[in-house]
Amino acid sequence: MIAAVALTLGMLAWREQAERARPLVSGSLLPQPRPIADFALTGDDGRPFTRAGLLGRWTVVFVGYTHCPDVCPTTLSRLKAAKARLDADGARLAVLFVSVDPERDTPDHLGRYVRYFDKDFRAVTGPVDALTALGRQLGFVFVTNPGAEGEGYGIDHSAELILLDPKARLAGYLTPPFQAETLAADLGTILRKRVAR
Amino acid sequence: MMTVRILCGALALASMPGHACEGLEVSDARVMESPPGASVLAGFATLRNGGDAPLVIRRADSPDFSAVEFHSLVRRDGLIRMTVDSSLTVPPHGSLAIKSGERHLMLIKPARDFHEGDRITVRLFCSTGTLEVKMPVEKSG
Repeated sequence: MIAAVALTLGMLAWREQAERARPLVSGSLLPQPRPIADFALTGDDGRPFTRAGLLGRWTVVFVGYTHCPDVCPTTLSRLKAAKARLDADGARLAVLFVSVDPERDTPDHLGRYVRYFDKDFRAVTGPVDALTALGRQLGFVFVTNPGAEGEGYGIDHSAELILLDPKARLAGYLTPPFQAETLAADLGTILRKRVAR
Repeated sequence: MMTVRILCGALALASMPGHACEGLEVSDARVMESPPGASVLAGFATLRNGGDAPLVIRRADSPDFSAVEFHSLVRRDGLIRMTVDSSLTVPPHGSLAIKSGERHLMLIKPARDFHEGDRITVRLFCSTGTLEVKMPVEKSG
């Protein structure tokens, strides 16, 4: 009898643990979320965007630029589709497009770009050195590629989605290729996670 | 004997009689709609070569864009790198998929904004002539 109760309690504890540690379909979570230092970028409303802007809900960060013909629009479309599958839960998720092309991506242009995909998506950019410093913290890189786009240039960039928890800590990554279904499953998993103090 | 195939449905494929790319078939052609004011659009299609020799497309252009380039995407060390290809080669009795995440036709500087339902004309230049392809604009995703 006691053994049965202990077993049941053990199962419950195990299930709770399993729920919290459930692995992602297409990515991984850090064993411990990593705090990030403050940064100074500019939001698509033209106002300063700092670490404080990430507090309070999960954020999915995607790094790119609007002159990117395939990967960026495709990823933003898939994020929109994944968010729609999460219904009300999707509203608890922020999607932040970080443009690493401040020369061409003005805040105003960025705002129109991301909101074409979803009215709740937000975008930021800033000086290259600030972007590089943030990349060092979040694990993304970008390199200007002069030959890649006709008369202009392309930017080679990281394609992972970066997951930040509601305490603005680096929590993990999702890796491409992205499909709406698996994205929705993974984003659902992280939204259900309790965030430790 | 030159064969010119006209495919129907979503794909309308016009040809320039006497100057077509012999053996080349284009299917599933489409251009991804981008936000208003976008400076570049991506075009996708599947190219099939019904002939016995490799079919090389040396360049492409469009009356709707300032330039058309062939781009490949390479993922390495977590970085997506976009490279320009000088030509496209479709193997004999084989196909070449121009598909999202791998390669695209880079349509540079549109003459105007294009929306779902519009059609974009792209000309493919190969050694035996030119093939004009009408690519419908679709919502991405």
